[in-house]
Amino acid sequence: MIGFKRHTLFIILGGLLAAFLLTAPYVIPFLLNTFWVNILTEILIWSLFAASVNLLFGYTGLLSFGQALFFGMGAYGVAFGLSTFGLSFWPAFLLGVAAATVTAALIGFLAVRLTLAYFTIISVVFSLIFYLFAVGRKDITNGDDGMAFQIPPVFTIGGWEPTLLDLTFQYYFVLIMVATFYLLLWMVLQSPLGYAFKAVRENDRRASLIGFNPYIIRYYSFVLAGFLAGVAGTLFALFSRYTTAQYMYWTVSGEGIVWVVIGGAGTLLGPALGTALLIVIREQLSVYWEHFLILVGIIAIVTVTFEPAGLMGMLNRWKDRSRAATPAAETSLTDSESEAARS
Amino acid sequence: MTFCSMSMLNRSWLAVGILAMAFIALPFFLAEFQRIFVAEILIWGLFTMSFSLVYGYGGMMSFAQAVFFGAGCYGFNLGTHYYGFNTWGAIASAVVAAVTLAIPIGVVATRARSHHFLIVTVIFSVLVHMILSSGHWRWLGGPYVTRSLTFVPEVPFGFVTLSYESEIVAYYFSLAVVAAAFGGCSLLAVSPFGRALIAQKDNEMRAHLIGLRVVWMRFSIFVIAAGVAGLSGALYALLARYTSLEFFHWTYSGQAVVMAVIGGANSLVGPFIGTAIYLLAAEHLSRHFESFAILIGIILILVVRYAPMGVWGLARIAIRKVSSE
Repeated sequence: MIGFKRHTLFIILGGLLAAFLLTAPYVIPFLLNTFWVNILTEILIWSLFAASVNLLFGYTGLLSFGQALFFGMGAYGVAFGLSTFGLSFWPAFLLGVAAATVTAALIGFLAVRLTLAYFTIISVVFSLIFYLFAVGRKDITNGDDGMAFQIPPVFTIGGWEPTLLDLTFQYYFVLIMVATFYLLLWMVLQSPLGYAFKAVRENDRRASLIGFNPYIIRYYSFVLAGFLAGVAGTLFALFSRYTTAQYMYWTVSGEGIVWVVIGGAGTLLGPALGTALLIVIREQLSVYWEHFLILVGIIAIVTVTFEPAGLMGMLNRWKDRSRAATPAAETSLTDSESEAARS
Repeated sequence: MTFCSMSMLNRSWLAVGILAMAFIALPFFLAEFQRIFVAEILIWGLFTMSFSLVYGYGGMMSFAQAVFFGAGCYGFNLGTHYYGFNTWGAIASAVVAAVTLAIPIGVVATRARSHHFLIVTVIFSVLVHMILSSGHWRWLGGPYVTRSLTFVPEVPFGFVTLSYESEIVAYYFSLAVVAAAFGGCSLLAVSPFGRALIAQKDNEMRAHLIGLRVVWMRFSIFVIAAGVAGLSGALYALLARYTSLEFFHWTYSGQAVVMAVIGGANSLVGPFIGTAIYLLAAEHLSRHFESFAILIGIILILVVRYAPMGVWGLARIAIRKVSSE
């Protein structure tokens, strides 16, 4: 019976969370300061970035220290689209996503030839090349100073021209985008391709013996992850109205890995959980303690060493343990239920 | 007696002898700055070799080697600065500093496997770097991020004291210490402990089943390699006469990984070859070609893809072919 309760508890908590996310711009001003709406928006965007790191690391077994590259490409795509080419909202958005995806598609050819730590190194090398270019060519990218830009309205219906300057609209815009791409990711992971990712992660030789080409599977995963990171970068540039070379620096990728590892690699929602937790820690703690990252590092080390499945793994085990502990209760319940249904 | 009829052992002793003579004779054919450059290659080579002890023998992709190199640098620097040690004492304090730091890090890190080990070591080196450069540790890092030796180092040999003022001394002392460390590590590699390490690297479960204490072995090689990295840090501090907090940064570990892989990470000779290739390329190519990192990336891809044993692995195959004909 306890197991049943825990399961219900999870559903209730999930429902509450969904309700909170749907009403956040109206609920938060009552509970907290309004600026937490922006923090929540930021958490949503970064959790999409964490999901892209997780797709590579948690599902395909490729540890990338270079995801920031695609994040930065997305951000620069938007910046160039809006300020240099004078595009309107959606073309600039598409330009950002396309820039990231094309970069991933080109780099992927070389990068996924390697696995294990060699892949990690090559991902660092690639992101460093682009970072150094972005920092060095001040005439094109404005380097560390970054590019600021104006954002046009998202769409026009009659006289209604909502822009992201409206915090509530911005929140819902980001929520819808992030939810859509999370749904897309979930659908891919449920598809045969998603199982192929896991097969390659577990044992690439066996995966190739049952007919998968590990190289192609890794390539798909790499491009899809680059695409997701690009969407996150595009959204973040629109959110902050600003793009800088720092978005491409390896520390951004490193943060993504820490979020994924703490939240739970290889679970769909773990990265979002880790991102939310660590951004809240950052917002709360960085005011009082300049070197709060030390704490983050220690949390990450403890998690990786003692609970490699992360917070989500812990939660899932807690949920499942109760089920396993009371199999008799579960079966008797279902038996009686089925009998009730029959009669 | 022909060359081919010699036993394998004799032939490798011959190679060692020729190599030793070549290195002893080398400074007479080089300009002053080139002697220092060769000494630098030897020292960074020792550092890279410490990585291949952890990775090629222990099976752990460590990004914390730079921390121990930095600990060696500062162990040397602070030993002379605060305690007035002579060179021998300061080298000892450098190794002690590296090992002292490696024990707690190793206890935690060696519990993690593969990617998780990599992440843990990166985080540890970022943490150490962040704490040291936070400004609260000025007694250690110096008023700025670098700390210079305030004197010309001297090496006392009882009856005679050699000064680092002459780069011939710098060259030969670096060579002697690196050669001694290389010899020690080679003995370790062929010892039963070295064989057991390779066994646990190839298959941890089987090694465990034949009674090897895998966790203890992983920890031991981690600490030993940290000591070697600390020794190379001390030699670097001696040669360059300055230390920088930058050496704690994990990008230096990343460089060691690249050097070791290019040369051949499964051997102890390979890292030296990889270091020489990398540093020579950096010295000569970065002048003409701005994006030098791209080139290194391409070389890395080619080596990992087509010659996973590295340049030394290829050379060994070539030698075997030639001698069997």
